[in-house]
Amino acid sequence: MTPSLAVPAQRLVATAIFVAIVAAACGTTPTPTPPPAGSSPTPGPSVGPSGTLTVALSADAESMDPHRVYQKAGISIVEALFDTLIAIDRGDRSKFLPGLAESWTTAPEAIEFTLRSGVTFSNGEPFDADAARFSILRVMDVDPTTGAPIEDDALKLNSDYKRSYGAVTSVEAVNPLTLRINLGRWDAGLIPALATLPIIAPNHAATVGNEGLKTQPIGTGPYLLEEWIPDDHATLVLNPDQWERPRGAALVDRVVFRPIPDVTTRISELTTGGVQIAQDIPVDQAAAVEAGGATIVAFDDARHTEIWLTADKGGQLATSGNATPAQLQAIEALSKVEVRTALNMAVDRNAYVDALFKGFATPMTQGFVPGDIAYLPAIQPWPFDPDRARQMLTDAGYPDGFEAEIDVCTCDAAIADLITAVQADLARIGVRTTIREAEVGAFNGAWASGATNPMRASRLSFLDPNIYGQFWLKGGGLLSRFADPEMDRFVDEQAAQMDPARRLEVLHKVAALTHDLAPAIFLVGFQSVYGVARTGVSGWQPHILGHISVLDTRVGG
Amino acid sequence: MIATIGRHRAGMFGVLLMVVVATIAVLAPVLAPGGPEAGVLRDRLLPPVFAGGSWDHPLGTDRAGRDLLVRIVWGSRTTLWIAIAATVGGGLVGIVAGVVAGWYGRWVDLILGRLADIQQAIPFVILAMAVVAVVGPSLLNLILVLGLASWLFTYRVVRGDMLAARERPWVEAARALGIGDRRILWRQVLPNVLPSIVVVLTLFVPQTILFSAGLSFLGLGVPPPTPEWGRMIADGADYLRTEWWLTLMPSLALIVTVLGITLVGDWVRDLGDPLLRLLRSAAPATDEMGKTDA
Amino acid sequence: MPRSAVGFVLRRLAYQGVVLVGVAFLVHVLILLSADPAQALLPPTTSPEAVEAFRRAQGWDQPLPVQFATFLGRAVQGDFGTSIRFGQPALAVVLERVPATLTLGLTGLAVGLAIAFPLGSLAALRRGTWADGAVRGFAVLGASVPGFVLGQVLILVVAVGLRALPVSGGGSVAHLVLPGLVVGIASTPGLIRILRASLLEVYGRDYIRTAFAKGLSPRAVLLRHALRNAAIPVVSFLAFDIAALLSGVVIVERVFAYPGMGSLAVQAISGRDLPVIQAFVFVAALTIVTTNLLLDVAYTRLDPRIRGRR
Repeated sequence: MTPSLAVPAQRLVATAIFVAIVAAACGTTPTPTPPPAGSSPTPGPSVGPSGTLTVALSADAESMDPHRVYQKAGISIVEALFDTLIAIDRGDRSKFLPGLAESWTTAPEAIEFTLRSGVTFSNGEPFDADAARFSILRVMDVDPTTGAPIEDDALKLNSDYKRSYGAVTSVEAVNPLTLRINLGRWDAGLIPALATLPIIAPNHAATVGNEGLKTQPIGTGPYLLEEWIPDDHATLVLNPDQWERPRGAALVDRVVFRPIPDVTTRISELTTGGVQIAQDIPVDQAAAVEAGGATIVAFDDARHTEIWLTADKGGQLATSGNATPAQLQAIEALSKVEVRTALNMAVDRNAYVDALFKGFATPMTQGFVPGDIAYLPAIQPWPFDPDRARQMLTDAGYPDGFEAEIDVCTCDAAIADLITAVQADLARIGVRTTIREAEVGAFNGAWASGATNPMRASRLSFLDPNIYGQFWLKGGGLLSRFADPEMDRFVDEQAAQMDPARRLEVLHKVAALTHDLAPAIFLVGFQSVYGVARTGVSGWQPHILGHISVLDTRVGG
Repeated sequence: MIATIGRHRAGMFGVLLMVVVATIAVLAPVLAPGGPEAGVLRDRLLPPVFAGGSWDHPLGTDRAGRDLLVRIVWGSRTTLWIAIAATVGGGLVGIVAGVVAGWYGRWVDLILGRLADIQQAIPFVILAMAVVAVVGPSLLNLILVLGLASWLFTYRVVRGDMLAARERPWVEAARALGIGDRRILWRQVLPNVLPSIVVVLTLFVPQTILFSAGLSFLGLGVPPPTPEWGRMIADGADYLRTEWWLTLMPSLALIVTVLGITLVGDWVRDLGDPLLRLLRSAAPATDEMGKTDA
Repeated sequence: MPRSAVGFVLRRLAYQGVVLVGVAFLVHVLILLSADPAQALLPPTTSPEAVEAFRRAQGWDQPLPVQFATFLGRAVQGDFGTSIRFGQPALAVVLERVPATLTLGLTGLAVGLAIAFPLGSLAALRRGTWADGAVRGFAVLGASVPGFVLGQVLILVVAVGLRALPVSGGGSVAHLVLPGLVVGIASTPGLIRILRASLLEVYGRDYIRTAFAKGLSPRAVLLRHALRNAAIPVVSFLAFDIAALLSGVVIVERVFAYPGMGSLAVQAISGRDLPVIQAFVFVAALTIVTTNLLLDVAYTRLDPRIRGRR
């Protein structure tokens, strides 16, 4: 038994602190929680970088190739090794900062960047417009020498980021410090996409190839990779060649990232001082973390949880031909908007927020959460009304409900309890669900291959609503399982809007439709929860993208 | 002699424990008529009565606000069903394979022996993960996977016993009298092998529950909301630091069950330890060396 | 070594080779049957053509026997393909992790034997007393507490409560203590049980009675005569147990975030990194098969019957 359990007084104190933090985290505004200590990120001019910061991640990086790293654990490492043309303000998703580009101008037919001079990659290659062009073309699967799409499938990168560059017709290095991206049409998602595109050293990339880049990253970033023992640790050392980055400054000599998948072990490392920052702390464990002498930091990075509903009757699913009769019945039922709305009225979101997330969450009223720019506050929540929901099912022709499977990824332990609770709520209106757990490989495979799962639990967060719209909301989008002509029109319209205010108007229409059409059972937006040591580390703040940024963090003292 | 009487008493105690657990499993619908899936979310993670909780939930509640005692009572059904189905199912395959290989020998023995060796050279957890990746997680598939573990052992023990039995004088005598193979097997040989089988099964039931817990820990357990002790232990382990009863209570249930089964197994084993016989006689070296020098 | 023994080892070697090929085939089939690896590996937004191309590039469009033959031809040369995650030779990726896992496994084995031998002997010598009962109770406990629970309890008590040892990770002797204990304790119930039964049987034999009759002390009888003989089934049991030990290591490595090949394998299965899975299973099978071979040899040295026959 742990000593911390045996002492009620200690527990009481911890709970009090905890409540205070909940209150701070769940104020009326979705602004980030103030960091626990040393909130001034600007370093004293006399103090140079020093010390070692150790960070516990909940998983390891997929690889060290920044164009093939998608999960927040890997992005935490990649962010320290590379720079982007445009940088992100860690606390504000609508604000972009200069990165490797000092400035940029936008027009419907092109985006033009003025690049920072005097920056070199850590292997000595100079950073210039050709280098920037190389990285953009790499994720687009375009050959940088010919400017033509790569035909040989074996040479393609097939990066997940490729999908953001559909509007780009060509990329030009006008001169060493001017880069021009020519567009076939304006796409509002491009700036956010470029803000998350790490720039890699082109000659190095050509030398080691796509395979070599998986373990040998060369960038311009604040840190260099010293050693990577997969599933054990990645050690980063300070890049001696620093420049003043608006996104933050490197204040420690070394950073060690340790993937520790087991929650209990991760927390134990935090409370014994083995690590200073730990990712993905379950809300239930927050009190234990506080009692163990660390601070809980909760941050709303607009991550939301929902169960997507397969409403695509007659589409890819019917033709896939291997659906069971029960699955076909479920899909038929889910193709009716009344049924989908009924499901949304059957789930007790407030209970989830109170009991499961102790307030570190907000009930969803639409496909967006308050942290998203597209969020429309005016939308009324679905009432929690199982009786009416059951009546609606009866009216729609399903008095006895129906059966359906919910696919859940075992990679996302944080939502396991939530899905169990939803399962119980749905059972009350006669919708009998089976939870199908799959590890991440099988989970992604099943959804992508047009398999027959009627429902799928997801936890998503987007820097910009465009990709969400294109791939989840628009009919025929690669991850979409429903289609509505009006939704399709608005999604395309917002992407083409250059004027932010007018784009927002259209986005609000999209938001309203996510409520009216209910393509998913939208559950809760819940905050990312981190544990931070009370002593020995200061200045750390959560990042809007949900990964751990080590910039502006100091150790010792 | 005193020791034997002590054993006898321990064996009876084991039987008693098993009867109690089995009764709880059978009577679950009477003992806890609400079923194991009903819960109040807002009442989640309540402590047991001896740690400050109330008698409404004597052992506290789980992560979904479900009564832990009710979950354990219902869980006994799933747990025992999986353990017994996997052990007996795998055991039956092992018995048939062992009888065929040990009695008829030759190429059947050769092939089955190779198969067993191949399977034994793969760490079970990895094999199980790969199999579940193919067939997907479900109660039935879990039983199939766990059955894979138990056939191997039963097969080896039974085969060894069959080899020994074949050489016995009375079996040879029966053959000389012209009694058919099948009759000799049923009447003479199998009754002699039976104690071995019982002992192996009692060894494997706890093993199977532990395997199931291990697979749950890796995310391949019984799908929710069905209660099963192994999965309950694995799910609770995340909460060990604060809600330790989530792990302790199902663990206690498991310990009591394992104790019962072990005591009964020891009792039966007093007739002669088949495992020991196997380990003493059936090591491959002996066979091969025998052939070399013959 | 006598000729027959050399022949024996060679034959065992050849046989174990057949087992290894069988293992490789089984795993190959299993993994290809699982959800289309191409779909699982590529981002969900990949176009069907790109998925098809990827499949061709990996050789997954070939018929199964062809695929397997190709794989085997390369595997014989130590080429298991390139890890999809790391872009490096899969065998090298796995071999890098072998020392850590081997150390953990051997530590566990040593711990298991160190606990089982005294306890098993005690239980056998004091058969029917409270000591026997206590040892058997310990065995029941060991057989009903999963390794991951024991591991987490040890972390909470020893590493968090007492701050005596590091919580997780690898690289030093201190990091080895807790995971080694968990792996070791997991194998004690079986070992104790076998040793106790075996000793009881040995004590019933004539030569032990002779030894006592000669006036040897119980301690001398145990150490000089009984244990040696009673160890034979224990050695055989280890052959059965070594695969289970490796299974335990896989789970223990996850609990302690220990950088061995078990955590690598779990990751590889989730990520469908087929070359790494193949290389891992090959290395694991090779370990098990080699251990069995060594145990065979140990067995012939321990068993007077076999030595006599030589």
